Amino acid sequence: MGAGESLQHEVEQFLYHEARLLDRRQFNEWYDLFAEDSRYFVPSMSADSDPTADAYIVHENRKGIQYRVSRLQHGSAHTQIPPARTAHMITNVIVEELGDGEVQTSAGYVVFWSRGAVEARYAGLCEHHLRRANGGWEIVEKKVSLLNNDQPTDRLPLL
Amino acid sequence: MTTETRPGLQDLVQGDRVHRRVYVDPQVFEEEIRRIFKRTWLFVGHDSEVPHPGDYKTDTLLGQPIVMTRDGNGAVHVLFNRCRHRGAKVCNQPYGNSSSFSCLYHGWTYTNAGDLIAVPSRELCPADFDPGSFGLLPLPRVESYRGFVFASFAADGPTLEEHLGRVTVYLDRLIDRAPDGEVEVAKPVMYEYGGNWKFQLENFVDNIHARFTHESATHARRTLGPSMGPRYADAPITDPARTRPGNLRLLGRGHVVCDYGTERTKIPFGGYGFSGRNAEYVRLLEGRHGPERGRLLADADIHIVIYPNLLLHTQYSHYRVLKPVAVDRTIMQGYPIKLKGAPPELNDELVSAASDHVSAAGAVQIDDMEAFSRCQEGLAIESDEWVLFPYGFDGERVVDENGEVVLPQASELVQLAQHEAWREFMANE
Repeated sequence: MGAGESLQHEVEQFLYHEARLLDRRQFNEWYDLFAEDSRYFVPSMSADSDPTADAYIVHENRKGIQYRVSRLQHGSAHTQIPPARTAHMITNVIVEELGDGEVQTSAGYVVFWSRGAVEARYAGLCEHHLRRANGGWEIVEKKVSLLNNDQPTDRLPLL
Repeated sequence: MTTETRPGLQDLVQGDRVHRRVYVDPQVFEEEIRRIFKRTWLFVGHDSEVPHPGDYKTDTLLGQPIVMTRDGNGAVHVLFNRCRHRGAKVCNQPYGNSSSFSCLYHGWTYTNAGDLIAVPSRELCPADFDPGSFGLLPLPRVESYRGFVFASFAADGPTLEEHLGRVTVYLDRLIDRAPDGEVEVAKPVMYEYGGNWKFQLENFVDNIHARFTHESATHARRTLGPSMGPRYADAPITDPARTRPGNLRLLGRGHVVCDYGTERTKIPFGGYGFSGRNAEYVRLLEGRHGPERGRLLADADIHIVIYPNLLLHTQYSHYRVLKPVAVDRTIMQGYPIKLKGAPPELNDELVSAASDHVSAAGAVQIDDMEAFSRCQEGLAIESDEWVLFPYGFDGERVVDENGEVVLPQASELVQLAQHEAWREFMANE
């Protein structure tokens, strides 16, 4: 069943906060949202593909996310020169309580991306597994299933 | 400001330079499709993508819909995916299994070997209408090498064996890394970039660019520790080991290989090869091939370009299929290569290494894509007509006993060899 009004509100605010960190390029703060045992997953070809059996777009643990964030902020991260401007939009949020202070969310997700004369947009389903921590939430898993993950894409931003 | 000259096709490649039109002129691109891609052998897929009778995979080849099938007898076919009646595509899922394909329009039905077996209301057709001559059209020529399926739009020309030549020595090495002597491929990850197709072929055997293009990836790796990021040898290109004729090999017809040997197994941060990391795997290879070749295979670190549309990579175990879309747009499909018979954890690691490397959100390829699109943008400038390949142009080159031209690792002669093949194809109207 769906979450109560206050939990729904609280979780939505957390997701908006995460989106804003990405749009503001506060990558270290974004990385800090991830739990020690977390996973960030963007499947290729289909939403239910198995990242140990088939290729994926992103599949990493917290260490991998740290590497990604470190790379993006290096002075010669060429795809960030200049950086793209992004707008991460989250909507249709459904929150499901898992017990023990954990929730599973699913949301519609659109990322608008603009860099110089080039524009792109990515749409899909965004699913979070969240856990209560330090008076707020931490991300146990984030999974982004792009609608067009069976099609080639140009340089992808942080989704 | 100089006015751009208009050299003929055969003059667009000269010594150590290539004219910008080779990358930006839509008419040149059209001629490339006609004179190169429609004449030579193109890689289509691996037969492990259709492992069982009835399996199929759809794709496009030069923008034309095709379907690769395995029929009930186990034979692999590459067919044009087009109803012979009014033209509709008959097979419409990316992958699947079916003994037949029915057209949605008027119900013409074909076996997965392409034979036309049903024409509804056939009595309305002329009496001499012969369904036997209206099977799905096969590609004019289809041949395979150890599971790698190639097709040609040209009915005549060199055989696949003649086309591949010495490159099979290296393809064998890649395949023999599988303890069972066969590889299988996983579902792909794909990217596209706003640049000419030849940038990707040049880049795949470019031993000079990594220190600059991939600096953010290697730096982050150094700071975060051995498990992260690409394991590059980032020695300066003037290092003596890289300026002597070594591991770059020109194999003819545009095929080239970079054989790093065990050089990158010795670099810091854990190394590249498997001999020091998975004893069970090495034992399996040594059992099948003997100690010397077994170890060579376990550590094999080679990049192979099979001109013009297949790139293979042993360490980040994958191959990439190149699709030229337009003069300034290219699609790549990256398929992880799994080694049949290898310990499962090793294959998991290979799928992961391939994905991280090839993905448009990964650590490495993304910066190459940035380079390709910047080159495409820069080459819009008409006043500066030539693209230069000076590194190693005057360097040593050795022809070995097999006729392979062996070059220093840091040499742009390897890119020029691709352009020389280009020139030979393009000279032939």
